Amino acid sequence: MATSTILSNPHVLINAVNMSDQCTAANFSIDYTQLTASSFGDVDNKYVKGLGDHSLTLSFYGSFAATETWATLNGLVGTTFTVIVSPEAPATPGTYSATNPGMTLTGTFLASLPVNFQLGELNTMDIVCTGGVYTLDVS
Amino acid sequence: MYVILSERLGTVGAKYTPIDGVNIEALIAGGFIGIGSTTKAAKSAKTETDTDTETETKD
Repeated sequence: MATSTILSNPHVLINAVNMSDQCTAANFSIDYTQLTASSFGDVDNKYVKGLGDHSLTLSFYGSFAATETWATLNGLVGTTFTVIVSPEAPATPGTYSATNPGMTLTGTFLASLPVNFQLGELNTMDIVCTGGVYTLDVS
Repeated sequence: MYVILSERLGTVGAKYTPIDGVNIEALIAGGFIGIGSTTKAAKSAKTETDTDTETETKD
């Protein structure tokens, strides 16, 4: 049973634009293809790391105002860019640390921009950034 | 030279230096940055004005 409440307040930079105040969910998935390395004589499967295949799923409120969600994301569809997610906003912009690392996907690709309209609810935009080079900025 | 036009990117009016991987075209299209001028404003042309006034005198 949960005994405490932890408020999550991550910092989200999409193409260098701070979109934290419109973001409601961020799921950063660091994945590698597992390559089978078992051979004759082995009695258990063995694997080695293959290509990285990372992704980042983000949910935003769908503001169409100037320099808000639509303005930020619309121009990125079908292109590559950089996204950085950190547990909290860095004290100095661009400076991360071991306790507040900047999880970065450089050259990630945005294939589509679904816009969700639901009666009685704020509209949302949920995107999936796929691929790109993953680095963990702790400097 | 790029100039920041939105607080989401930094201080409005400050020079923006793109980092690796940033999609500049999307930032311009979204109105986050603009292209600033790197040349000084041209000086206005000097014009001489004749302030003398001629008056006709009758003899």
